[in-house]
Amino acid sequence: MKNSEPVDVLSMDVDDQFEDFTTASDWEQFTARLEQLLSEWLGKPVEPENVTNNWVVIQEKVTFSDFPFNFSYYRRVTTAELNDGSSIMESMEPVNTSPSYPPYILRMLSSEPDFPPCSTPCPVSEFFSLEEFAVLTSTAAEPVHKESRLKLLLSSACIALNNTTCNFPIFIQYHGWNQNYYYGVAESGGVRTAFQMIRLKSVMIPTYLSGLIDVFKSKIGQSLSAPIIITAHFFYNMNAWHEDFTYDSFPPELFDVLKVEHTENSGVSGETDKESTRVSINQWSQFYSQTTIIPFGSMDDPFSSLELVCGWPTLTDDIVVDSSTYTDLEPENSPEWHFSLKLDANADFRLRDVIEGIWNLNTEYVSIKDVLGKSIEDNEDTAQYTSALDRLTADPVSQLPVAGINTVIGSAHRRLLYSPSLYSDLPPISSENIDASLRFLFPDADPNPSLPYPSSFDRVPDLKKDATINFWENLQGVKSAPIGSLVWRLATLIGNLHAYNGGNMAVAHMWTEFVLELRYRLEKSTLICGLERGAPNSNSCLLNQKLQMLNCCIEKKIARAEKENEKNVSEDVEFAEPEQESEDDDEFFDCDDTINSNANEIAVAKFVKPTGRLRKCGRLRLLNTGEPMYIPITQDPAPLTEDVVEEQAKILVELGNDAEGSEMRAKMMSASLLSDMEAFKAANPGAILEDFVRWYSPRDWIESDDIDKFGNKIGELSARMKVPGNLWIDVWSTAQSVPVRRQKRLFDDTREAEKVLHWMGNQTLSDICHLLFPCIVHAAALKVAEEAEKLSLDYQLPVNLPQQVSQLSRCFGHICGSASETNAAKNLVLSSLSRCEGEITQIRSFQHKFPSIDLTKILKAKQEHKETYGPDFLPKHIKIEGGYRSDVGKTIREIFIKEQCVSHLLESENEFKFGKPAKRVFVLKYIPPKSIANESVGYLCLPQRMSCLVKEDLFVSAGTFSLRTDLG
Amino acid sequence: MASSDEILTTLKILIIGQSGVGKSSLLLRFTDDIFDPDQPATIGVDFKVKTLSIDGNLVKLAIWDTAGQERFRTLTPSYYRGAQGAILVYDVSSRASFERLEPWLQELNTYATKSNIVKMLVGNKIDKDRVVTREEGLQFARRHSMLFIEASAKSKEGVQCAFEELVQKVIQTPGLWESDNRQGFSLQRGGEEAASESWCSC
Ligand SMILES: Nc1nc2c(ncn2[C@@H]2O[C@H](COP(=O)(O)OP(=O)(O)O)[C@@H](O)[C@H]2O)c(=O)[nH]1
Ligand SMILES: [Mg+2]
Repeated sequence: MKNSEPVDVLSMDVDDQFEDFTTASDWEQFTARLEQLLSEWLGKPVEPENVTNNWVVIQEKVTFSDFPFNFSYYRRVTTAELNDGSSIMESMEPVNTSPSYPPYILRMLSSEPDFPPCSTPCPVSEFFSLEEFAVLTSTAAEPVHKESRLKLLLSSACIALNNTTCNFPIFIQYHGWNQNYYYGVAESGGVRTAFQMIRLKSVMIPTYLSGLIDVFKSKIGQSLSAPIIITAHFFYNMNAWHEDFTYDSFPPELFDVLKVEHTENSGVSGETDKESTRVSINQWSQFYSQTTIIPFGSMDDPFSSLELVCGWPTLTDDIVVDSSTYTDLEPENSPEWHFSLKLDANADFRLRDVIEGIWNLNTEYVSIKDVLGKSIEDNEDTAQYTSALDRLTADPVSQLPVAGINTVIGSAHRRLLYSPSLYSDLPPISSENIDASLRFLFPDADPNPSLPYPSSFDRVPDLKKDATINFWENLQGVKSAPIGSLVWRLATLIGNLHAYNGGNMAVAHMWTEFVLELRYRLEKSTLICGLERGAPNSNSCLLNQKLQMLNCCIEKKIARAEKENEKNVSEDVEFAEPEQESEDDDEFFDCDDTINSNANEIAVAKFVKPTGRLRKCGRLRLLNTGEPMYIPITQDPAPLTEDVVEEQAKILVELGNDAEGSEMRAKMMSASLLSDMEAFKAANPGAILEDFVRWYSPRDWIESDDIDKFGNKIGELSARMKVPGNLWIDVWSTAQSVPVRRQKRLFDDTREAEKVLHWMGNQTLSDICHLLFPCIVHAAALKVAEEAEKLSLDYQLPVNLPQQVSQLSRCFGHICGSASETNAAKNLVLSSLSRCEGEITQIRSFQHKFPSIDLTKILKAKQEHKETYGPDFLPKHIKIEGGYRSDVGKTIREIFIKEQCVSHLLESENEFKFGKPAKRVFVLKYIPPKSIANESVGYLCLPQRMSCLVKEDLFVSAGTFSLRTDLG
Repeated sequence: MASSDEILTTLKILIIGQSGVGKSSLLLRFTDDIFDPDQPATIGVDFKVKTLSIDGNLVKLAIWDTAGQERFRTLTPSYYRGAQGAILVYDVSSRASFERLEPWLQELNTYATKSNIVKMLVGNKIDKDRVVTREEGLQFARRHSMLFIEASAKSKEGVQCAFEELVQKVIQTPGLWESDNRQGFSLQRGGEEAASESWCSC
């Protein structure tokens, strides 16, 4: 074994290391640089930015001639120290020994247990049990692997240490980066210490404790005046869970959920539903939010393996036997058991997959048509495509896809794509599944749906945990769609389809079917279900607004058709006596846009006949004629989606900041004023502007106390209304007498509906990602909260996650942030959600395996001692109180037995043995009695230490051997 | 600090309230420092821009003026979205204008997209004979967590201060606005006073 022999630093003479004076100056420069850095580090207070996991790490670059090195400084700090910022020097515990040992030797004497080890940024600390040291690592193409070079570096280190009174060791990483192989030297207080490692791949070395004791003695001397103190830890691994112990979250398969048949008590019936009663979380997720279709948890057990560590913390060489023929060190005899569950780094998490899957569509700038392109174009040209639509929409009843669907509601799902008669290709989603999906989205087509929409979307489940309640409340500000509404269902459905049922093709297919259904509903004048009624809600996501808009159009269409019917029934409505007209504010009126071309003539012809009256305007009478003043029927304002508002606002802004701009804006906005004036004139023949202002803007009519002949108070227009040429006068003078039914429609529902459908049909996959993402993350956040609520222990949901989700939900739609901002917001949310998903799954898996362990207590302990338990959510090395004989000990034994059963290593359970440990770690220490500590020379007057790691094919030992330099 | 003429942020401010209370006049006074009795009644919405310096930082204001007439009220709320501040105006010489403040607030709460939008109540026309006392205005503002100030577009009193106070408050509200140029902003956080009326000393 080349290079396995330790370099004896102790006998090295610093002064005859070099003969060459050209290298001398390089070497001197190098040493000086080390010295400089050491002195910098010495007095340095703890700066929080240098600290990770309770270690101060500082890295500097140094060069030796042309060879670059990293010179790194490591120092462990306790949490208390971090908090009050004191320096490490003061915190060294005073030990009652008279000799002034350097700290790394004092540490050997302390009774601090070696196990479990603290987390460390560098393995040196574990090998040699150190809390402060520095390491030189080559950063050149090749590592330090020549012995002469190693010696040169060690001698530099030695001089630097001597000149700076540093009392920590410097290590050189030797022989390759990926082998953790270090040599070190320390020199302080009259003690020089060599830190040496041996690393062997062969089995020539002693692997039993008896042999290791021999090696240790052969190094420090045979006639010891104290026993060797030994710590041993044996590691056993379990790598295959038996199914009794495997945790799997098994989410229901999407189409199993969707195809669930209606049963008496499955649906929520709107009538018996008391709005005030809160529903249980399970009912809520099944019937109100449909979060049951959002998959959650890992595909397989989140833990890949279990590691059992059996420890013997205090042994001495005179009482323990461990040799090739016999051993005292059996797990059953170990006084200390610890175990760890190791995370499966490759575990797939379902919720994360769904969100990431949809997010990945972000960069797919391909239109839906192109995704499906091949299937459509191969089989049919556009003309046929359109005629197919006509055919289907012409006769809804005969085209029902599934026999037996009730048509009372007048709705059935239309499918064009991949209709078996037209296409040979298999569709991305089978027609049976498309059918189930459409019934899920549009349950009103079914007279007795299994998953109807709830009567209101703001139901809250009955939550019990404070953390969940707060989390839930803070999610109010998310700009998505109402929980459980159509867009919500669509988003979660497509998220699931994309991840597990056909990827991009399935998304495109589902989207197309969805748009076809919308068109069908428009054509058939059937309202879209699962939406809040009314104008687009600007606090919801763009897709929800667009669908609300479409519903407004359908509503208009239905109302117009009804009006048409009425007209046919009584042709003379228009000529009815004014007094008989409806007094109902909400009555619907619409304009016929076919007759307005010669409004002028009509107005003249009907001059004396008042039309379009809604009701009397109080007791007001017209100023000139004395007739009662009537409020006209007016046009409703056009419903607007946020993108349209934004465009209009942009146009208004672009008109400029000056008076001219203001005038242009006023003109643009005067369309509704003109419409109202025309309607007013039609309802009130003979009216003048003053009359109009009295109804429309009463504060611009300044009254006196006098009364005119008709009983009106005498008054005049306000100053601002009288200014010649102002827009109110202008518009009044151009206004004709036209009732709304003859006016041009301010809101052209036919056109607007067409615009929405066109927009829907022209989305790319990337657009769909943006349209659905707000709902997807919102649903995912609720899902996480729901799962946390269902846990048997309190899980701390990230407090700022709701805020982050809300922020992210606002990055989409019309007003969006920059791509990088959106990306950053998404990463923040996704990592938070995945962390929760991972941790909740770990809790479930853990509780499944060890129902008797109080996990809350363990998690709390971990909170308090982060540095010993590692960065993972569950702590490493969980102590098993009572070891082998405890319940948990028995469970662990059972887990090992079952593993061997699985791999058929066992005939019967009685044969079970833990067998050979995967790894054994020994620490051997010699501590001289006080009596000889100051007298003798050689190794025996100072504490010595050797740690060994023994595996099947590897032996590593790390020795800390010290000699006095001041005694001669 | 004001050496940089970079705009820290652009804020959207609304002015709402009954017709004739002087919304457009307040805006004109603030932006152009004039009072024009012949200013026409607003149709729909109008818009003005002004840059303001707050604590040495330049803030660009896009101020949306709305018509108060009943009929326009179905049209204007769509322009409320994204606003960080809203000024609700009444006329101290008209009790009716004061008594009908509530519906405006409701509308604002319904249509404003930012939940933490800063609201200010302005009692205008204090140059005229008042019928609404200062205390009444103050009480209303306190009840609805608004800033409060009295002003006159005609005499100029309180106008500049009203806008500055509002902008200051918006800037101090975390998460309400975003920096245009990502530069630091020297925050001078006000005390956490319980009632948020302003006692302006300018
Ligand atoms: N005396 C007085 N009149 C005012 C004041 N502000 C506005 N006015 C007048 O009130 C009327 C309505 O003003 P305007 O700004 O158009 O009100 P708006 O409808 O709210 O925009 C106009 O005649 C203005 O001249 C004020 O501070 N004092
Ligand atoms: Mg105005």
